Amino acid sequence: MLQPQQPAHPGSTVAVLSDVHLRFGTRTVLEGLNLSLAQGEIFALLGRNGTGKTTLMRLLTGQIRPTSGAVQVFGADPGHEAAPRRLMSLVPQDIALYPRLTVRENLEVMAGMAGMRRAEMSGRVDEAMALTHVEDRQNDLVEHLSGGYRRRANIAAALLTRPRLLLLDEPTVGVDVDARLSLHRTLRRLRDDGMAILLTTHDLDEARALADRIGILASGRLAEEGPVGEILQRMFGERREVVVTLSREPDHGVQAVLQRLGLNRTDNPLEWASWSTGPESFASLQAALRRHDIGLHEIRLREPRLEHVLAHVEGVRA
Amino acid sequence: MIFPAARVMFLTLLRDRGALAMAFVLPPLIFLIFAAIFSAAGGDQLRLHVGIADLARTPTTSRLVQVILEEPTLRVTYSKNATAGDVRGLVKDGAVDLGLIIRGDLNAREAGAPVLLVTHEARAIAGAIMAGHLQRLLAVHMPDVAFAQVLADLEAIGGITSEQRAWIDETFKEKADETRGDPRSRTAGLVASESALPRTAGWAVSYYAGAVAVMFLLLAGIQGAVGLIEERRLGVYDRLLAGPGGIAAIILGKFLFLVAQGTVQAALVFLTAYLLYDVDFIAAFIPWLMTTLAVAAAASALALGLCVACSSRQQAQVLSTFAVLIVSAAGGSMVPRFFLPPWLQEAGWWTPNAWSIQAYSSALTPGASFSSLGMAWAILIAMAALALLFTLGVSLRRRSV
Repeated sequence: MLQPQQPAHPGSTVAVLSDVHLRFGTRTVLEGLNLSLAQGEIFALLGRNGTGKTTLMRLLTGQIRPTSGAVQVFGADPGHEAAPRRLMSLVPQDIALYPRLTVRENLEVMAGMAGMRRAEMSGRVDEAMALTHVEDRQNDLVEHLSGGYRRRANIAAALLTRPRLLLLDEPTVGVDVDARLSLHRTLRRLRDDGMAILLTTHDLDEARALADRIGILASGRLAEEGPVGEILQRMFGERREVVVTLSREPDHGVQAVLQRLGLNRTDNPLEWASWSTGPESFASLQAALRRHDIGLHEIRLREPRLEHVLAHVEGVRA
Repeated sequence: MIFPAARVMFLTLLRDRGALAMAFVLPPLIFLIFAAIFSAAGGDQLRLHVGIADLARTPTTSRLVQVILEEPTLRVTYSKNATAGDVRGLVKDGAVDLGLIIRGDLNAREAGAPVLLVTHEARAIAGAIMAGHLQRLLAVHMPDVAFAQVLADLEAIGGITSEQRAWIDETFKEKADETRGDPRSRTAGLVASESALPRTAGWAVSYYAGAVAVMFLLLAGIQGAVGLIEERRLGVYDRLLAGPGGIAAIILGKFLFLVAQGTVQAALVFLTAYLLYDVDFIAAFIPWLMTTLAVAAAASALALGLCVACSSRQQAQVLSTFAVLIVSAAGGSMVPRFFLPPWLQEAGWWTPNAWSIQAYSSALTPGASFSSLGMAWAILIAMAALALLFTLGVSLRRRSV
């Protein structure tokens, strides 16, 4: 039988979802989803609201079962067996703590609810607080903590059982930069200790900075999956984004010329963008703009980013 | 796993002054008010306020007015010059509970009933009570007048002659004058009464101790059970379901805490009743404790069941207020059950309140049959078990929704 304290083997598979379909009534949420998670990696799940990120987490925790397909966590189906649940922890999107209890009381209560014995409780609580740097606020009521500390305490509660798989649902929503960086450091440390981490996020910078691999959920399946660099290379190759910043707002005539040159307006009316296939096309575009006497403030090449991947997958122009 | 859930509720309650007051201060306070109201209304302290106009002003009517003025169970507004219109006005304005217009001499029967009771529809029962008072006062304090009515009837059908009636009237008058001031002759009558229990104020208010306790156990139970919805909203359930912890342990922990809280609440109410009204629940402590545990279990489980069926705190609060008010009114927590119409008394058996009141009554009454107490306990425990099963079933089902 699996034990929580069982040593981790980096690279070994922790969870596998195979051809998972999920329907709620007539609504299809997941359609042939495949995903695997390895020990000692951080996997970031991206996608618009309603694409099924949280649902995927609930599949992994066994709270919901797939309409068809298989979910295996630590070699067992979490929907039918309790053993996998002893090896994982969930950090819900909301602060799933009791607001009128102190941080320490919350952690003690959560440890008790997880079936931990009193003798080992104190040590585990101290350990979880140290990992998330909340020791100095351990006697404060959760309702009196700042957003950042609440998030840390929220994660600390999930670390009490020393899980081998940690599921985080948008763990850094509403926290400032310092708190976010601190949480990132904590997650990296946990990853380095061999924990598998699956997090959902809307923050592309976070995904890029933290994740070893990302997956983009769209239309009920993982539209893209892999390390960020690999995905960018696969999707954009050598192409770079050309961003033209005009010195003044273009009239209709200039707009028509820009469009003929393959440029599209961005959210900023002065900023127009296109994709360059190489230095030659960049140079020719520059020449064309000069030829049409279009006033330029700046023209630059920009590396493709996750926003572009997401926009491409979702069919929306970045 | 059960203890942490109870600890959460304990600490949360301890740090919420409003909830603390609601749980432990309000019930004894409300009990005191209810006891004061209903012990007076249902016991022997009800003092009707009567407005009197004596239009006849004969010696007999003056005696009647005097008797009424001296009656300690009545409050009287009387003026020698009051008219029938004045009394009707007092009744309409609510200044008195009812009016009494003495239209003619009590021995004169030609113009219909000499005494007219003026009642208000909103206080119709006052008329019936006053009619009873009048019969009693006439029989005890003015037997000559009461007997004169019988004699008049006898004379009308030829049973006695006018001379015989005059002699009897005179004899009665002399006897009445001789015995005036002697209470022995006034208390004689056909009907005497005794209480099945020792005559203390405690028995009168013990009903309300039970009635108020169960109502507040339900209210406080819901206040505590709403935590289930908050935990679901905050994601605590998701966290626990994802790990080795179980929902059943949380529910049982909450249930046990609510039972303990309810026991303390009931103890406070009965302690107040003991200190102020001599409700001696300590003499029957074991039956009282068993009853309290059964009542607390039923109230807690029903509160949990109601909250687990709701999807939001707001929905739970609206629904629970509705439900608690209805079952409390129908079950006899607001108005004594013997005041309710028969169909409502029957309907009341579907509420935990009626069975709780029944159980407390049987538990505290010396010599009451155990079958009545046992039946009430069995039904309360069955309610608790069913509601707890429902709560667990819905909670576990939500795992897959």
